[in-house]
Amino acid sequence: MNLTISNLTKVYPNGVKAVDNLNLEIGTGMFGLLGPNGAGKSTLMRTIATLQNPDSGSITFNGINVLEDQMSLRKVLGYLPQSFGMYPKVSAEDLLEYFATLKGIASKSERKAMIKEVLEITNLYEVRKKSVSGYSGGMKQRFGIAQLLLNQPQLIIVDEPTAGLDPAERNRFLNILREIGTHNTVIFSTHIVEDVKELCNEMAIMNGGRVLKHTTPKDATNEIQGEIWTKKIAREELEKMESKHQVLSSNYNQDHSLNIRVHALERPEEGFVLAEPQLEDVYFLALQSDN
Amino acid sequence: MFTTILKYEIRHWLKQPMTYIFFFTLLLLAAVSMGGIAEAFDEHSEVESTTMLANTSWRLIEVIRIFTNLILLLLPIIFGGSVFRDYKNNVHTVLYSYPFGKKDYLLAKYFSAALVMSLIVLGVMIGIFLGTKIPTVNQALLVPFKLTAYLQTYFVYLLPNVLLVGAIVFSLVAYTRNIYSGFVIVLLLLALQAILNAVLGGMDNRFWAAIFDPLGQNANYFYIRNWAKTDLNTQLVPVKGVVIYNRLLWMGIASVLFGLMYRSFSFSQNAFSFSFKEPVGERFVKNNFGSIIKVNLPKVNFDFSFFQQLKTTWTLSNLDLKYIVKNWMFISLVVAGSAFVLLKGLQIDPAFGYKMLPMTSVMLQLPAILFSGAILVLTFLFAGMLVQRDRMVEMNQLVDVTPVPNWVFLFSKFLALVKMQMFLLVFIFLGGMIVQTILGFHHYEIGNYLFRLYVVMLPSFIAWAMASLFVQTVFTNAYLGLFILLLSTAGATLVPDQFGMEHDIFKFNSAPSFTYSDMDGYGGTLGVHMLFRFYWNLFGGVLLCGALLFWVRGIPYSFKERLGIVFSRFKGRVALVMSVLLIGFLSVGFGIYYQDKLSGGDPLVNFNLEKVSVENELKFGKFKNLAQPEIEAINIHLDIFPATRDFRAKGKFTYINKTKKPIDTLLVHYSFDELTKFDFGNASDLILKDTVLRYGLHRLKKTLAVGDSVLMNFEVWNRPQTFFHHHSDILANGTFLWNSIFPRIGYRNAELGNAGKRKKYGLPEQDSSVRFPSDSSALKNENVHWVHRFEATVSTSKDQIAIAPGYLQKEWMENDRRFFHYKMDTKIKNAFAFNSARYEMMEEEWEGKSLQIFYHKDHAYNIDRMMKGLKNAFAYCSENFGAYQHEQARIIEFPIIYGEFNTVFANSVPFSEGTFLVDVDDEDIEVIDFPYKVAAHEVAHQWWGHQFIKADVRGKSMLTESMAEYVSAQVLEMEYGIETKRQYLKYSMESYFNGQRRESKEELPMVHALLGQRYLNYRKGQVVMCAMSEYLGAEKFNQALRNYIDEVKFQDEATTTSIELLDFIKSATPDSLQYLIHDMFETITLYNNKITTVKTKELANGKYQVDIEFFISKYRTDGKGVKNFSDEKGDSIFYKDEKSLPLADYIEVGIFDKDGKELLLEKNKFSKINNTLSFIVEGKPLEVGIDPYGILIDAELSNNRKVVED
Repeated sequence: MNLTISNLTKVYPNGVKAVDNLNLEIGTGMFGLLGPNGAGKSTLMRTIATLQNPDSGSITFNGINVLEDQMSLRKVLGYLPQSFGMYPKVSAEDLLEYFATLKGIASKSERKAMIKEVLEITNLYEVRKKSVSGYSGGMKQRFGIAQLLLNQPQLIIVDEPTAGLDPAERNRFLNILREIGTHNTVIFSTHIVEDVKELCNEMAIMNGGRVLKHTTPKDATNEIQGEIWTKKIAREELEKMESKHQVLSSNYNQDHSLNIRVHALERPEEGFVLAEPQLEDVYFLALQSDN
Repeated sequence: MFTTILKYEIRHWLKQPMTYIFFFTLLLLAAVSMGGIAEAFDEHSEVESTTMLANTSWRLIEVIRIFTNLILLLLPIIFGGSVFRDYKNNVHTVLYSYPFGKKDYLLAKYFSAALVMSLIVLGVMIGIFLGTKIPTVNQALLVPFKLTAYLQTYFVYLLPNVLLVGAIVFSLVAYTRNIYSGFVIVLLLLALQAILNAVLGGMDNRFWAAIFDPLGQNANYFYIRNWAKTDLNTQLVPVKGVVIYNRLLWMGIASVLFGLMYRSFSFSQNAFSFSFKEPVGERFVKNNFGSIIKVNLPKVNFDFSFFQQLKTTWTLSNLDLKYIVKNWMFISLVVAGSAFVLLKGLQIDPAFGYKMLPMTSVMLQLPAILFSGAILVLTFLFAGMLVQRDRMVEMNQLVDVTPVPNWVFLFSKFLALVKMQMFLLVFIFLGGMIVQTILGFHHYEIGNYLFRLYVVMLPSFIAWAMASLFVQTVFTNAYLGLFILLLSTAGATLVPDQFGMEHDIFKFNSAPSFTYSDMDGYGGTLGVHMLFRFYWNLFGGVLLCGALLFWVRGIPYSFKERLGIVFSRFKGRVALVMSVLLIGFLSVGFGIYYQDKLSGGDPLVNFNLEKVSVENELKFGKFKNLAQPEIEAINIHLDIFPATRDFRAKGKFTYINKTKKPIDTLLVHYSFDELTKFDFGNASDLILKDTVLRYGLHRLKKTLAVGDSVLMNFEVWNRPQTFFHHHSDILANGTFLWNSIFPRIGYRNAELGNAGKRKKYGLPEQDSSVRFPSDSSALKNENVHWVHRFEATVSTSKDQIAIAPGYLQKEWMENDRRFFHYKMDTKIKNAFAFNSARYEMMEEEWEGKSLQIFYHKDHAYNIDRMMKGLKNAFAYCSENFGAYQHEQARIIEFPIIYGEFNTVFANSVPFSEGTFLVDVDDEDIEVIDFPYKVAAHEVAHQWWGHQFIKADVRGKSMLTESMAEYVSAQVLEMEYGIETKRQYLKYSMESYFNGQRRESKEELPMVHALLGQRYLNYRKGQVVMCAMSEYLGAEKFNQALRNYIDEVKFQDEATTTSIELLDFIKSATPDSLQYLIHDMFETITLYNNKITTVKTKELANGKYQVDIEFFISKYRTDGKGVKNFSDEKGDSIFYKDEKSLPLADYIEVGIFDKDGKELLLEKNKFSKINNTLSFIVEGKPLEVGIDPYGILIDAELSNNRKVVED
C-alpha cells in the first residue's frame, strides 16, 4: 500500500496556490495531515479522492495512476468530506443500501450483511430506521464512516472528521479509524495536534500548499529533544520575549501570568527550564520557520 | 432598520447580472413583438380605417397579456429568491439573531423585490415604445404616442399583477422556505385562470369571469368586447367598474395571504412542515462506552461489469422516480393538471357551439394537449431537480467518489424522467376513461389510447427529456434551466422562422402533424410523423451525449475548467456514439430536406401556389373573357383502389356553344396534382400546351356553331403514392373525391387578391370589388352551369360502397371488385363528388322518396336525428316551396381528415365525421340538435341553391345560406318548439355581432353581403328572415318565397340575385312594414331599445296593472360602425340625451310571470323615443320587455327586459 504524490500543483482561478509543487509518499497506516485552516489540506485530499483535477503533477496508489484511471481508485477509495448532507427523510439503512449499490455490491444478501456490519461497527444499528438528516453531528460523522466502509476501501481519506465532536464521540470515531488503518492507508486531516499524536504512525505538516515537514510523531519530538524551553512570565513581558526569542506558544495561567514555550538550542536566559517536547511544538516550529 | 435592509437588498439585486439580463430580455422581446405587430419585419400591408392599429391602448394591454405569463415565471426568482437566498446560504441562522423584527425584515424584503421587479417589467413598456420607433415599421399602423395609454397599462395591469402575484409567491416561499413552491403557485394561478375561462366562458358569466381573473384581462374584455374597430383604434380602454373591483379583489387576496404568512412567520431554524403522524417523544441516550471495536467486514463480491452497471442504472432510476412522485410539487401539478383535463374533458360549457361525443379521439385531443403541457413542465423541472439533487443536499462528494461511471448517473435520471412521463400519460388515459364513464359513454377504445399515448406521443416527450437533461447539466441552476427550457419551447419555432428556416427539420421536436379519423385511422400520415420523431430523438441522443460530456463530477471551479473537461472527455465510446447519432441525425435531416425541397422527382414538392397564381394570370389572363362553350353532359368511369390509394378515371364531357357567336378556340385547364390526358377526338389541333401551369389551348378544325356541341375525352389518374407525399384524396377507407380533379374548359380563376402581393409581383391593380346585383351586365355565372345528363360508373374494393350523384341503376361484382352505376334524371349543377368507404346504410322512405344515410359502423349515434331532420325539412320545403326535384336523398359520412364541414350536391349531402359525433343533450335547451339542424339546412339547399343559378354578384349567398338557415330555424321549431328556435336566434345574433367586430374590411347591407361574410350570410340572414316571417306571418312570407322559386326554378339562361328575391318579399309586405325591408336588407340598422321603469300594482279584482316606461332608439351605421341617427332626409328625433331615426315602428311589448309565461305579448306602433304604456293583466307579473325575444337586431339585448319593481 503506497500512495505517491509528485509535483502536484493546483492554482484556483482567484490566484490562490492551494497546492504548490507538492511531493509526498504515504504508506500503510494512519497518516495525519496537520495544518491550519486554508493550508491546502482539503484541496489535496479532494484531488486524491478524484473530485478535483490538479493543474500538474501525478498521484499513484498501488500502481493506479489516480489522475488517469479515476475509476480504479474509486473502487478502493473511502472518502469522508469535511461536510456533507443526505437526502432528507431517508433512513440510514436505505441510504446505505443506495451507497452499497453504487459501490458495486451486486448481491442483495451481501449488501444486507455488509450494511448490518457497518452499522454495528459505527454503533448506528439501533437508529438505522431513523432519517440521517435528523442525526446529531457525531452520529452523522459515524454514518459517514459507515458508508465509507461499504466497499472495503484500501485508501481512506477523511477530511477534518473530529471537528465539532464531543470527546466521547471523538474518541469512538478515532478508534474506528485506527482499527481500519491497521491494514490500509488512512489519510486524515486535522488542525488538532492531539488527534495526530494519539493515532498516527506518520504525519505531515502542511501550510500554503506545501509540505513543511514529513515525519512520524515520535521522530518529530525526538528531533527537538533539549531544544524546548519554558518560562512563567508576566503578561507585559510577552512582547519583549517575542522580539528576543523564538516563542512557539504562550498560554495563560490562572493568575494571569503566561507560560511561554521557546525554541532554542541552549537555555535562552535565566528562568527558562527545559521542557519535554510536544508535537504541538513541532507544529508551531514548522509553521514559524515557513514564514 | 427597514431602510438598511431595503438598501442592502436593492444593492444586492443591482449587482446581479440576472437583473439586467431580465430587463433587457423583456425589453428586446417587447420591442420585437411591437415591431412585428407594426410590420417592421414584413411587407407593409394596406391600412384601411378598420385595420387594427399597432400601438393602441387595447393593443398595449394585449401585448402585456402575452408577456405576463413569462413575467410571472420571473417572480419566484426575484420575490421568492429574496427570502429563499437567506435559507439557502444558511444566513438565516445568523440573520435571525440580529436585532430587527420580522416586520422590518419581511417588508424590506418584499418591497425591495417589488421595486426591482417593477423596474424589470418597465423594460416591457420601454421595449414596446422602442418597437414603434424601429425605422422599418409601417407608419400607417401607428397612432401618436399617448402617455396615458402606457401609464394605464403599466399601473392598472402590469404592475399590480407583479405586485399581487409577487406577494403571493413571496408569502408562500417565506412560509415553506422552498423557492419551487413559488413556481408551483404561479402555475396554479395560470391554471386557475384557464379553468375560470373554461367554467365561466359562457355569455351569462362574463361578469364573474371578469371579477375573478387573477390577471385582470377578462375585466378589460368585459368592456371592450363590444367595441367597434374604430373605437378600439381610437379610444382608451376604460378603467372603471369591474376592472377596479377585480384589481381590488386580488390585491385583497394577496394582502390576506401576506398577512397570514406574516402572522405565522417566525425567525426559527426550521421550515414549516406537516406530517400525518403524531410525533412520538422518546428519550435517547447515546452509548458512549466500550468504544474499542474490531472491524471485521464480511466478505462480499464487487461487480463492476457493464451488466451490473445497467442494473444499477435501473435501480437508481427507480429511486429517482420515487423521489419525483413523492415530491409535493409533482403531486400538486398533477392534481391541478388532472382537474383541468377532467374539466376540459367534460366540456362544462359548450357555449352555444355544439359538444362532441367523448370519443377516444376527442379525449386524445384538447385534454391530452393540455396535459402534455404539464408533462413538459414537469420534465423540465425534474430534469433539473434530479441533476441538482445531490448537490442541493451536499451529498455529491460522497456519490461522486463511488466507482460508478457518469453515464450510469445520467442514464438513470433519463430513465426516471421517461418513467415519469409514462406514468403521467396514464392520467390522460384514465382521465379520458373517467370522463367517458361519467358521461355515460361506453365505447372504450383502449388500444387507440395506448397507441396514441405510448407510441405516437411518448417519443416527443423523450426528446424533451434528453434536451432538458442537457440544459440542466450545462446550467447548474435548476430554476435557470427551467426558465431557459420554457423559453426554448417557444424559441424552437420562433427563432428558425426569423431566419427563414421554416421547415420542421430546423425546429426542435416539431413534426408534420398527423391526422386521425375513426374511419381511416392515421391514414398514411403517421409514417412521416414518426420519422420526424425518430429524427428528433437522434438529436436528443446527441444532446444526451453532450450532457454526459458536461456532467459535473467532483468540484470544478470555473466554466473554463468545465469546458476543458468536456474536451478531454470527448473520446472513446462517447465520441463514437455521439458521432454516430450526429451523423444519423444529419443524414435523416438531409434525406427529409432532399425529399421535400431538392428532389426534382415530384413536381408538387416545390409547388408555390402564390407563384403559380401569378404565372397563371400573367400568361393566361388574356383568355379571361374568351368565349367558351358550356358543359352539357357528363359521363365518367372511375376506379378507386383503396388499398393502394390509387384511382383512375376516364370519361366524356359534352359542351354546347351557348354563346351568340361561333367558337374556334378551346382553352382547357387541369389539375396540378393529378395526371391528366384529354383530347377532342379529331375535332381539334393542340396549339399550345403548358405542362407547368396545366393548360392546353386547342383550335377546332371546324368552328363550333351556336348551339353545336363538342365532346372532350379525358383520363385522369393519381401520381404514385410515396412515403413522403400523398396525392389525390384517396384514403384506405373514406375517399372523398371532388370534381376539381377533372379538366375544365376556360381560364383558371385563381388570381392573387392581396393588393400588396399584387404590387410585389408587378400585377396590375385588380378591380377586386365584386359587382352589384343592380349591374345588369354582371348577371351571369361563369363557373356554374346546368348539366343535363349525368352518368357515372364507380368501382371500388369489394368491401366498400362507392357513391356518386344520381340514382343507383345497377350494382355488380367484376374481378373481385364492386361496381356501381349511377344516373341522374334531372338537370343538376356541375358540382359533384365521389365517396367510397366501408359504409353501413340506413334507409327510410318519405312520401315515396328514398332517404339514405351512409355511415361508419361505430357512428350510428346521430343517424336517427339526421333522418328526422331530413324528413321534417323535406316536409317543410315541399309544402312551402314546391316539390323536391329528385327521387332520392342521401347523407354520406366522410372522414374528419377532410375537415369539419358539411356540404351539398344534387341529391347527396356529404357530412363530416364530426357531425356524426356531435353530442346532443335533449335536456339542455342551449345545446341545439346540431345533426338535425344540419340535415335540415342541407335539405333546404336542394331548393335554395340547387333549383336556380345565382349571378356572381354581391348578396348571392343570401339566396342560399340565409334561406337554408331560415328553413333550419323553422324546422327546428317544428320539432323542438319556439323556445329552442329563440335560443338559436339569440346565438345567431351574438355571432353576428362577433363577426361584425372581427370584420377587417367593411360590413355591407344584407342584400350586398360578400361570399366570405358568413356572419351576414348565415347569422344576420337567419335573424332578418325569421323577423320578416314573424312580422308578415310565416304563411304569407313563405308564399312570397314560393312565388320567387316558381319564377326562377330551373331557368336555363337567366341567373338570379338577392334583389330579385327581395322584390318578391317587398311585394308581399304591407306599406306600414316596408321600413323593415329597408332597415334589415338595404341598410345596416340597429335598435337599442330599453325598459327604463316598470311599476305594478294589484287591483281590487285580483288583476294587476303594469305601467312601463321604455325608450326606443334606432340608428344606422356605415360599414365601419360609425353611427348615424338621421335618415336620408337628415331627420332625427330626440328625447333628452337620447337620439333616434324617425320612428313609425311596430315593436313587441311583453309581460311575463314568474315562470316566464306570457301574460301579454302584442305589437304596437311607436313613433317616439320615450313611451309609456299601461296594461292590465291576469297574473302577477315578474318581468316586462320591449322586443323581449330580440326579433329585431338590437345592439344590447340585456336591457330589453326588466324585472318589476314592487
